[in-house]
Amino acid sequence: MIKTPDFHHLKHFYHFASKYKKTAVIGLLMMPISVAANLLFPWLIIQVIDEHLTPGKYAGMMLLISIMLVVLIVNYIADGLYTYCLRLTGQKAVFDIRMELFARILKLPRTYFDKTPTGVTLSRLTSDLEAIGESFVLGVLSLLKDSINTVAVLIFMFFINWQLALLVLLVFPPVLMLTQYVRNRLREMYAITRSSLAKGTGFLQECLFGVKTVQLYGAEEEVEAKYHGYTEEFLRAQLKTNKYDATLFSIITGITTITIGLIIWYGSGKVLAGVVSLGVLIAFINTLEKVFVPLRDFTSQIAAIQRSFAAFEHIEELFVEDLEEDGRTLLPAETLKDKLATFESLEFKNVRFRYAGAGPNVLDDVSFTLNKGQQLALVGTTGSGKSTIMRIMNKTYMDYEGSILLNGIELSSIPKDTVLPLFSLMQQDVFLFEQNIRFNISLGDDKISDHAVEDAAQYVYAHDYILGLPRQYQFELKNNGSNMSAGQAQLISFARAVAQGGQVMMLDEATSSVDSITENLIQKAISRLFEEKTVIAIAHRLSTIRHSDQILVLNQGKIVEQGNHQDLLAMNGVYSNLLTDDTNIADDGDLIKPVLA
Amino acid sequence: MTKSKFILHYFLLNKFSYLFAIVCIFVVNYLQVEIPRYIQLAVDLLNEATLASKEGLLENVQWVIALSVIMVVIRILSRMYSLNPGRITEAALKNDVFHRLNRLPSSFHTQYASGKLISIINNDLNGIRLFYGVGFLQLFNILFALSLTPIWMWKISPELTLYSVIPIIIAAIIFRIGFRKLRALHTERLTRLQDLSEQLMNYLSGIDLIKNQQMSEWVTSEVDAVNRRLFDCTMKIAKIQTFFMPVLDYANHFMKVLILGLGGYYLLQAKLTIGEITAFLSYSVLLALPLMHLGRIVTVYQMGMISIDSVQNILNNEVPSTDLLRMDANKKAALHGSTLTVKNLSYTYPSAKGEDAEAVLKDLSFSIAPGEKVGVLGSIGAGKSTLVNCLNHHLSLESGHIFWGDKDITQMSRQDWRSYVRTITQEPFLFSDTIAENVKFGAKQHKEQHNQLQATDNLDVQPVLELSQLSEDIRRFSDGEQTLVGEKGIMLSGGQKQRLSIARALLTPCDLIIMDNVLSAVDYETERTILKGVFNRIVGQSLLVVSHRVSALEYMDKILVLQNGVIIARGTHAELLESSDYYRETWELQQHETGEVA
Repeated sequence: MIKTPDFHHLKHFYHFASKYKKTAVIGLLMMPISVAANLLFPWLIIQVIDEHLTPGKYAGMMLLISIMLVVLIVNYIADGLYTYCLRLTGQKAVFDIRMELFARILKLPRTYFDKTPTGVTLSRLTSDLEAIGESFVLGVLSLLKDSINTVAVLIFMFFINWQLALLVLLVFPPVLMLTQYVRNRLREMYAITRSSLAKGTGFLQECLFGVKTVQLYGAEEEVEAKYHGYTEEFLRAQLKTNKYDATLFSIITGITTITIGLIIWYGSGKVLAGVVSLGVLIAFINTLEKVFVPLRDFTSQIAAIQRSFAAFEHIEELFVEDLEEDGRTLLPAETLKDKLATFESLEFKNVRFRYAGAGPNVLDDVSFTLNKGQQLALVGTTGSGKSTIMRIMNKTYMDYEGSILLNGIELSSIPKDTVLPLFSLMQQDVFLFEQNIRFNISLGDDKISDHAVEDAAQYVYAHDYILGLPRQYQFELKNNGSNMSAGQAQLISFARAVAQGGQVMMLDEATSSVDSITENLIQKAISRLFEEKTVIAIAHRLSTIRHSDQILVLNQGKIVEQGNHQDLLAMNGVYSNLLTDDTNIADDGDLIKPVLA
Repeated sequence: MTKSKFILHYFLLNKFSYLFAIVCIFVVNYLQVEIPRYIQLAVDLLNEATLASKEGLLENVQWVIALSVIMVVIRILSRMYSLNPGRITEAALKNDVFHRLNRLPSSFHTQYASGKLISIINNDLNGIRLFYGVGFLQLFNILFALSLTPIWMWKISPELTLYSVIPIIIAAIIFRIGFRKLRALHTERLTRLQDLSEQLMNYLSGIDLIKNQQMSEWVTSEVDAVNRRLFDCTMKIAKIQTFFMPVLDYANHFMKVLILGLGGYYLLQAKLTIGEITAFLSYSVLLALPLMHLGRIVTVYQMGMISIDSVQNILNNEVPSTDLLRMDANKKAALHGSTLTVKNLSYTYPSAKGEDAEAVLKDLSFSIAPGEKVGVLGSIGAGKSTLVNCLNHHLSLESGHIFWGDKDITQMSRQDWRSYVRTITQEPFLFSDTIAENVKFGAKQHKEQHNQLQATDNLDVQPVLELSQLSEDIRRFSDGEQTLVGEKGIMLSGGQKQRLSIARALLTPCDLIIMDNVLSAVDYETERTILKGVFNRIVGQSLLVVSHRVSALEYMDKILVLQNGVIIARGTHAELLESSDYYRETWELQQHETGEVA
């Protein structure tokens, strides 16, 4: 039932839950109280009937009845506390797991995100943890309670009268066998239902997306015939499922009364012989339900718990994923502090890079030097390695070959946290928080004053349009900036980069077109950055890069031309070709016409 | 259809099943109250030690067992016949909704996002299934249980009945309040969960920035806050579930105590027998259970009503009446190979209102004779695609502008019209099936209509793949024609998709083929080869090619030059080079472009 890895998951969960031991212990202590109350109740019924009702003695009966009421109330409270405390423990553990997972995710290397769709990571944090909170915690709680109670009741029955108890036990095997049989059938049916439902829904989705095609081809009846097929298959499986469900339910509810009949039948002789009292017989009749109903739920509880193990497995995968700086030898940050206080130079020496250490070289023998105050522009088609160069600089990707020296120190030995403050990144796809503009520029850094935020905005020519917005710097951005144009978002990201005070500006210029007024502002901001800062830019516009100190033309990871604008023009090679072709140096396809798509 | 008619319509779908189920439910509930009576008799006979009583006891016990077995069988039937209709209704509705969606014109589909439609079919139909299944079963279960049980109890002891019902009713009220709170909390929790998902998704998509700007701390505290709100809500639910909801269960136990105490008192006064007390104990369970279900059935009912509303939102959109007028085979054959005539066609998108309401097409007139090959040249925004979508009646049109022979196309069903005209759209849609199946798409009914014996499965797709220059590519796929193209054809390139859609259009004959800029992702050379092949193949079929490339139209019998929704020139390639400046300029510009690429 429980495999070794599952046991490992349980241990891991226990590790998180053990922080809340106190709550859990209170809950667990309630368990014996609840069980005792559960047994005391039928015992009291026996007493009332045998001591008072049968002999017809009224005196003292009210005391017993009052005790019964107390037992009932104690049971209610103990039962509630048991479930509540343990659920609280479980939910707190889930809460902590979620936070810990999230913290881990923030430290995972880019390579993880490259190979894992965001949706998958998201579902680890949401639906998988939901499954643990619901299926596992609740499943285990009720399974534990039910099985202990059932065993206790059975022992109690044996204690009161072993012959009658044996009789009840006799009904067990066939009922268990039946449940097992029906469950197996149901599982087969579920597999069919799931797959036919998935197929049907998938097809439906396609037909709706392609409804124009369906209609233009007059294929309405054709797709309907196919869809009816799926619905029919689903329906047939459902009807069968229904049949098994109904059978299981009816037999479990019916078995109680059948057993009651058997007990009276068998017990009647004993009562007459004086071996079994009437009270015992009635107590048995009233306790039977407590035995059979858990029997029905037993298999489904196990199934729910097993389902949750899949979720555990998913989460475990995240827990064993290597963090980006795991197993790397780094120099201590303190010793680097002085050397990296200001940016002096960055030197690439014969750098090679492959993603995940496999596949073709994305960078091949790349060498260049960037000194403080200089501008470096990267030019080339998509996939030529421009973005990779930037991403290696800020340690998004780490395993390069060759040597990269930042202020003369090997980049791979510097902790990422020490490198990052030197660079300010302006990305193509601007990411905006659902906060106001001020926050999006300062990124919540207390050290950046309101004044500094406005200065930064002014510097990149964004101040004026921000003042034109309702609530100005308090303007709340929605949905990653959907209430703002792409160009305006770019300007915010520029202002952000300036405000963050990084000494090297990394600019990944956007290719998407924006309205001409904003475009003008963006160009002005870029030229200002180029004049005054140390810049590394992936640029798409001639005007942007013309004045760079150094331009690298990349092709398939190799530097094919290197020099300033004039040098490159004189070479009359790739660069000058790009220029004469069009006034715009486009990033995408246009350079190479798609040859036969 | 009104809501009540709708509900009734689907109830009547399974009327016999429901009737049988009602009878079964009644019998089950009757047996449920009847069996304790035999138990009572048996228990009472236990105290008497005569031989006759022993026989009577045995007989009663046998009754208990026999009736229990019967009850099991009938209960199975009652559950099957009351729950199956829910499933059957669900399936029927699925088909009905799909049928309707397939036939509703584009004006409907532009209004409803397909994601929303899918969610209606997936989720709301669930609510309707529960309404027609579990809702029905529990309604009658509760109805019968709550009416029969008190009567049987009353027969034994009216006073005890009254006293013991009191705690149950109080508990039921508390339960109901808790239930209602719980439902509100569940909705709240869903929102909290959604908040968390959205926030996490948001941060995950901005992970690079967050890491580069070292914002982990801030982001973590934000997630912590949302996570905490979810946790608080979850625990509120847990509180109600653990401390409120078991109240009915305990009321049942409380009732047992009451029955023992009070019943015992009556017993000693010889108003009751011990057997009757036993029976009463059994009835107490029968009373608590339906009350527990009462809350659930109210939810099922409410959810069902909401779901029916949203499904009706779809089903109340009527298919245009003209689309229901199908022509018979003779009429259809008579119109075969007619001339398409367009008279003073103008079109304005209904979404454009007020001052923006500029017509996209203005007063167009032209005709396409059988077998004629016509080209339409225009730049982006000239109205080319709108024209195509008018001609194939994808957009809703006013009558009196487009004729097929002498028949106004707005007066014939779209399905009939599209058996004459076939459009190859700019962005072809492919199903996640094999290449062969995608080529055969839409061919099935064509075969049926033409009464050909050849089954579609045997249709040879090879020649059309050859024509559309796709067979070369397909040979390189390891599974050939049986290659799966993936969702929306993701495994194929844009050009391959376009060529596949051309093959699809050529597979079965039709009168007029419209190609709407279909070769935009294909290079000039291939474009020419394909068009030449199509030209040779479709002798007798008319062709309308829409493009912004002159090269695609050079060999047409007639070319219309479209600019800003107006035909500014028409004629053959040679004529237009003479007469239209716009045409000539475009031609020269593109000549240059072609040369450079080649």
